[in-house]
Amino acid sequence: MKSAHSTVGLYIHIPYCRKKCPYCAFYSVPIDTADPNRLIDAIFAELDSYDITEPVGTIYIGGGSPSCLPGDPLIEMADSLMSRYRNVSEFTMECNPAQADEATLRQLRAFGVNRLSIGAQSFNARELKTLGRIHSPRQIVEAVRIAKKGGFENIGLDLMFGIPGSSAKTWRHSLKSAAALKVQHLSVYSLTIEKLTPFARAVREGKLAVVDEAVERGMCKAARSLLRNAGFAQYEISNFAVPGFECQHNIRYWKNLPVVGIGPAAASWYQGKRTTNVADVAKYIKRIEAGRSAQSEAYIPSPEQIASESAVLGLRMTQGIDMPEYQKQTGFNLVRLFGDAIKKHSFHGLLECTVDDHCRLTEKGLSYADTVAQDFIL
Amino acid sequence: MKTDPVPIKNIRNFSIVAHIDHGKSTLADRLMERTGAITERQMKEQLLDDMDLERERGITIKASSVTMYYTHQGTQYMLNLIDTPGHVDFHYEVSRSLAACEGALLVVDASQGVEAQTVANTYLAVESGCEILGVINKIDLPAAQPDRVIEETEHIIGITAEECFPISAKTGQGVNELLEAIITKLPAPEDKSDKPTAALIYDSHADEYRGVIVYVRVFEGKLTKRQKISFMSSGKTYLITELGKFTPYATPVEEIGTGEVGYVIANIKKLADVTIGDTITDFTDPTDKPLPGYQPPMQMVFSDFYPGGTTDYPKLRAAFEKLALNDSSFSFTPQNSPALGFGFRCGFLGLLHMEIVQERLERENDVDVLQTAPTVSYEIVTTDGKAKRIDSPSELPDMQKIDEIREPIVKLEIITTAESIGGVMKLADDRRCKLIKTEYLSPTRVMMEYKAPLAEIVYDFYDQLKGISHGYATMDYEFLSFEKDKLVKIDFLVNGTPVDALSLIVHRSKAEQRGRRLLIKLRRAIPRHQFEIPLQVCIGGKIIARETIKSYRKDVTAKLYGGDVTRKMKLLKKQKEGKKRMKSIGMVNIPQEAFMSILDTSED
Repeated sequence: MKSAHSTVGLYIHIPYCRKKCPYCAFYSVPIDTADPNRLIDAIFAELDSYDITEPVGTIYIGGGSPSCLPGDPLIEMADSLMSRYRNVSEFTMECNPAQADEATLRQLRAFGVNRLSIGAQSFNARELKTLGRIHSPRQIVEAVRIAKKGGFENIGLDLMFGIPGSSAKTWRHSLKSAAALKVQHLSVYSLTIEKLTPFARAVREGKLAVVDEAVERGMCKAARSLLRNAGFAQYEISNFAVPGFECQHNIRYWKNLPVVGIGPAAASWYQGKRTTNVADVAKYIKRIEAGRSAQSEAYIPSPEQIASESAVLGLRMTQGIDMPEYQKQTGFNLVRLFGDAIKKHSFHGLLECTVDDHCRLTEKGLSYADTVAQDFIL
Repeated sequence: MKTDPVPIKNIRNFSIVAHIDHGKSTLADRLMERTGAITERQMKEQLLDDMDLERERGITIKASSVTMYYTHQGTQYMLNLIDTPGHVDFHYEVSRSLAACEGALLVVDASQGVEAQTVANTYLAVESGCEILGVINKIDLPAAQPDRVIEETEHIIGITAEECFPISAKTGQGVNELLEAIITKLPAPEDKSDKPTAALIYDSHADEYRGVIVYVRVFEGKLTKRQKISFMSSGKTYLITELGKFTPYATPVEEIGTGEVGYVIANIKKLADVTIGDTITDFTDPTDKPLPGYQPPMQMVFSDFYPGGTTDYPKLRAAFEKLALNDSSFSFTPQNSPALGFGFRCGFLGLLHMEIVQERLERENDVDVLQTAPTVSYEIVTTDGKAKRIDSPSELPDMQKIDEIREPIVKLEIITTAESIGGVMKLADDRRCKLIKTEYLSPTRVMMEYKAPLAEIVYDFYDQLKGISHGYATMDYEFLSFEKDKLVKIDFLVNGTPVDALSLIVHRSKAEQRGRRLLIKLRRAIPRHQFEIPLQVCIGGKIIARETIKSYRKDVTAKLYGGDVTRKMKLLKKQKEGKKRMKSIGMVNIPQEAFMSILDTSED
């Protein structure tokens, strides 16, 4: 597939946390017993195994908590990545508010990391405790201050609503506190009870009460209006940004553009192939060290599957799908391929095609995104 | 095998009619055994019931016949037993079997006494001009009270004690006396052997290898092998390739004479080419007048069948086509419901008939079906004075264009215990039944006759009746006429869109309560969506109640980044697959199970 966007994204997964949060379904392990240097070596070895010919446009180091690594290996990693790739316009690193070390952040900034994503989640101490987070509300404020002081001018916070025990009031407080910190980006999403997590068990056993759906709906609505008034624009279903500060790396996902994922459990969409690495640090390291592939799953989607994926992902963005661009990228005409779905949901006011050739969810449609998306599955 | 020609005066044609489980099939077996048609070793129990299902349910669906030879006082007689089904739904088949006979054996259980179906069957036998012999069966049972039952028989159906024969089909006690009575008391066929051929088709059957097999009773002239025949109503002509009799196994013969019964094979391809009740005559020397036929069966109960599970529409159609080969009283018409998709509207003679069809579908054809609750047909008179039959509430025109709605009214006979009268009356009253008369059969048993709307008894009336009477009551019904009443149409709107499959016609007095109750059921049955769904119920076009299904929109604010793409696509695909089993109406996905639960009136 010839892509109009001739750059590629790079994602690096650091599967370590100081402590695993009970709601989290991402692959991570406690860092205590780990040997981070061995992992980082493996990560670079895996990276070398890819023959990346395109310029790398964005880098995103996520986790887990990359910030739980000691400062030196992190800085070294940033340094060697930046020396390899010269065209990186956005380099994000995730950071736990409890692990924002001023010296490290300053160094990272100096070595090219230009965007920090801080896992704030809530500004309510009790909610943070429920979530099993290791930080306090004060530490979030502190982390943002340190980051700014360290030179970061593009800072994002993650906020979660629907936390057990939360209310409309605590949620507004979290939103306002976040907005008051004058950050540039907010990811706002609801707590999803994921299977096989301690939260799922607690809910099943009646030990954890999920927030009433009506209250949660209210929270979602409150986020939109409050953040809009604070100068944020919603550019994706769960993402808001001060215009110009949208996360370029994540936009790659929603545009279904290639991203190479490195590290345990990381997923790649590269050269027409979707692959996922083995979700086990030891196995990952062992395979890489033995010169083998770390991939545990791989498939080549058909042109129709790609077209379907591109549509489902593209609709998540408020600007929608750029239809001429879509056709160039997938080889399919969106209206011809999904005419019935577009007609049906347009009729019900959930979808619209704009004069500038975009197909997007309406304001109302953003609330029914999955209902609409199902009709774009082939 | 006796093949000597038997003179017409020595032929007896008869049927056995009985209430379910009163021992009809056992008696048939015993008669065959006594006449030497089968030996005890050959005797597979209840030979006449050739379908598994029939045997399981203890009833017979398809009529067939058996020819037996019996020597009485040195003379050989030919006894043709024409089998009949025993249930209330199969009046039509009973009457067509009786039309081929001169006599009928009315079997009554000596421990149970006369039942509603016994009465109904007696009427049928009398109407078709048959001579009736009473058979008081199961006298070997400890609970048997033959004297009381004979008295009851005499009192209710007017068969005198002299015409009643106490027997035990099981032990054989009294069977010889009964055989003698068949010979001495039942009339022989009229001798019209010099006339042109006239044979009545009383049944037919499609055989996978032999084509259609036609069951006939010859009234005039004879049928011979290689005869060129014509069917009088259809005008179709055929050459007889095989004639035969069931003795009880199919045995080819050269000819079937006046008064005799047998089967005809004539290279007939489709069951539809044969009309039951039609007359077969000779092609070159035809009779000028066909034999009196029958009333075609009236389908009174309707239900929709949709493919379910892994079954698809073409598979269901094929199954129905196969089924229809052996059941001409059942009909199926393709229909496309906006709510449930492609399926069939099926017509049945009655409820049991419907149940049997459903079971045969699933058992013999391995298909899964979703079936709506049964409804009846209505007659509507439009404002321009035209009358029209409709089989589904969705066919109703706009209420403004309707002058009146008429519903089928039946004569309902219930025989029950004296102590349950109160309960039965309450049930009947509740179902808009009007009591015509009450008659005590004995100090403990009573017969109640009602005029009842079929729609009210078509669903669970019989179950309720059984409950009230602790299993004693029996019922039978017979169509009388279409009558006008205060009937209204209830419509349901889901998200503002009317759902035709849910519409129903009910009596005004029950409409509001029913509508509200069903609305609540509907609310419970439809899963929550990402948006709020209003549900409304309309009576005669006016909205009378509203319920709301709250929205559920949690998943839309979940994150979605690179690692989740595959997972998300799988999840959406799964959700979409789940929706395939649902029908989308006004953006709302309604599981088919939801329709069923709404249409199921058992919890009303």
